[in-house]
Amino acid sequence: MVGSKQADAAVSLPAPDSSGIDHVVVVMMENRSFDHFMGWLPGANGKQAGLSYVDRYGVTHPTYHLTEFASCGHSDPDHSQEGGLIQLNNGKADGWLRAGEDDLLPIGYYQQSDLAFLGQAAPVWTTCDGYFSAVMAETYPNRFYMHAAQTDRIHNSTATSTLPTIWDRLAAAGRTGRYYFSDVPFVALWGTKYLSIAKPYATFLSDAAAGALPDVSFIDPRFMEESSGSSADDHPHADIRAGEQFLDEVYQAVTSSPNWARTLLVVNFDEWGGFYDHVAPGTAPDTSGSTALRGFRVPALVVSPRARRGFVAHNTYDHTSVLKTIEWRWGLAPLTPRDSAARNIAEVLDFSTPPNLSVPRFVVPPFTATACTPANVSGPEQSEWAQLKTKALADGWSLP
Amino acid sequence: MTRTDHSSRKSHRLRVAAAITALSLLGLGLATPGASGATSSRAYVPPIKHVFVINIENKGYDETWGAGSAAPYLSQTLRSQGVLLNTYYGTAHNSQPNYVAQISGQGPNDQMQSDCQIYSRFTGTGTASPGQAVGSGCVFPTSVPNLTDQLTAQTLTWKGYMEDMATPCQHPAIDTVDPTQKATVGNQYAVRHNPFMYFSSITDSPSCAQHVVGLDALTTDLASANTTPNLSYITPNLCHDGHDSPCVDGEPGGLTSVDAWMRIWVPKILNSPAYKKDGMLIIAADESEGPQTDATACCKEGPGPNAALPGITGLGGGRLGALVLSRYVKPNTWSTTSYNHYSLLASIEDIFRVPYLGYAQTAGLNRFGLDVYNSGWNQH
Repeated sequence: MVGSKQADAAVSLPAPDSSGIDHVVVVMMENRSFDHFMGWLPGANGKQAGLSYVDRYGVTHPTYHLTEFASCGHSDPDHSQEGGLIQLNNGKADGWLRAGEDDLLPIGYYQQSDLAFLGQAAPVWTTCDGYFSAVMAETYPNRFYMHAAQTDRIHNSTATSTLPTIWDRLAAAGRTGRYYFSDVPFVALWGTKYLSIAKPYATFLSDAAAGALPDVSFIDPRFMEESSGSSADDHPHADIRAGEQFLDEVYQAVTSSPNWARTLLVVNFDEWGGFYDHVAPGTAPDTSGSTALRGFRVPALVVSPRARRGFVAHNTYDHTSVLKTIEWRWGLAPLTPRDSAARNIAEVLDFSTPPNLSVPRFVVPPFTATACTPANVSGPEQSEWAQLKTKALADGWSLP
Repeated sequence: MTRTDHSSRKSHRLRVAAAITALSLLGLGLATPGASGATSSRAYVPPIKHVFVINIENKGYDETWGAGSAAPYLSQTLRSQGVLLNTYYGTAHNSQPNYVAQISGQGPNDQMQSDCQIYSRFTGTGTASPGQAVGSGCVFPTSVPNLTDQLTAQTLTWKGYMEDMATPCQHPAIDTVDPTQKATVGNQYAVRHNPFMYFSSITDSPSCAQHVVGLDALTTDLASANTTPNLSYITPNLCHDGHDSPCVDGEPGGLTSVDAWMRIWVPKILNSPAYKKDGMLIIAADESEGPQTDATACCKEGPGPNAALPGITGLGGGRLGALVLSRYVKPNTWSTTSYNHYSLLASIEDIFRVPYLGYAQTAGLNRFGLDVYNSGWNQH
């Protein structure tokens, strides 16, 4: 039951108050591209077997099925802005083996059976195949876009940010927002400004169970220990079974919650992680020409009683399309030209038929996570999570 | 891991094995200059015939290439014409061993790290893999090969162009104090920035004065492709390479003087028939601001037989960045692959189809590939 018909741009959204969406939940994973993770999805614009790319030394290599859940022993694929521009190669999107220290990991892909959650959820819910990371850059810039519709840095660093965020907009409008984190709070990049809305992940589970979800929830996975493969965020070298298990837990919490009937859950990934994707991103209105270029496509899943079942949405979205939904729902002003011009991801929903409360349950088998010998981290990864944790503790956060 | 990955590793092992065999067959030599020991096809190397190398002094990546660079012509105008290698590293501290690395693959010893205050004879006790002369001192015996030996054996031409050098092949007498350690008005030449002076095979040769000449000769030599050497290795004086600031003659020095010098000399190169036909220009720095600022390394550089810490406080010379310009390079692009001075040597040896010397043989060392030669020249 996969529809290829795209959500019509002309579909008029209902009045926000009568949309039936009172809770927006966003969970953002790490570093996977659309083709690499979701290219198998029927009805989607994905490519897996049959592509080939030329490496730095002129040798052609075919795309291949990854048979390991973790990526021990491989270089973390380059996903800096500069590396992304090499991969983009002026729109050819063929430089996947010519950036950084990249080995053949970037042109490997996973298949449906490898993904215990997305392999089952994507075919039965709505998946976007035109959802791009917001900016051609690494983790922090993209996560800044998720909170602020812009970034104040192009590489990861722990300088304290003063960018206005969706949390400010919500607070000013008297709405409730909560940031749930697993180990390291991304919002610690604003110092202690958001200390009061930041809660441990366990609180998300209890809030959901109690029907006490706020208007807007952002949830972050376990980031630490990426190098040994024991994080749960899907960032190499993580064992992706841990990420899939985490996503299923969030899915169960949301869909079992007393709030479920009026909830929109969006699962996205911060950026492509240096993994291949055959679709070249374009530019979007932005605060700066230097960040107008989007990053490559990432997986994005939409779950809601209002979501179309077995549907692939083809329009162009990025992280600020989710901000656009929040702003539309609660009458908030846009943060920047980017979210102002973004398509509202709520347009993929079906407001013409009654909400469908039924929820398929998935079997996510237990597993023993692969542990890699911790690799030396270099470049931007050095300052990714350990340094942010240090900053948060120094600023007075108490962390789990 | 895939089949292709294994086979490339295998070919590398074969190449290294061949080099080791060649070494063991030679009593004294550390390699066979000009021997065709390399087995890889090097199909990723474009048909470059003229290589130009310019080094500036003591500037880390952010200072030279960052948004606030004091050298706008270099960091913006020239940068927009080439590929910026943002993970290019120095191999040592202080200056001298970095230059020596670029033309020989030899690692530093303590005297080299001190910039060879005494122009001492290198006293060797043996060799160590890969291709390292074990010992201490500055001027290597003829048994220690360098890039110019390889080029000469291939009947390829080379010159060192040294600004302010008073007489061709200028160097101190052996085992005497180097008087060029400090600039004087009218003479800001520094022997320690002229690596050719540390190889007896060059300095003991009657042709040294034809090969290592003043900068002025470059203008003449650039007039036609026939008079331009295959390798032109260019060192500005202590003011124009950014080493001094202010300079002894009252010029500002630093990146300001680097930029002014580049505005004069780089267009001469870029407009020359040899460069336009089949040239490549590399603009690098020797090392970061110093061992206390950045002594990081890349590219599997480790302790050497003569220096546990090549960078005095660390394993390397810090992150520098380097710019490559050529018709085989797409303007305003990036390479994020890690390179150091040994990679540069290996890349030049790729171009001239000669074996890798010294640490240029390091297993897994990156050489310039299609990330650098990214114009699409290889696509049919």
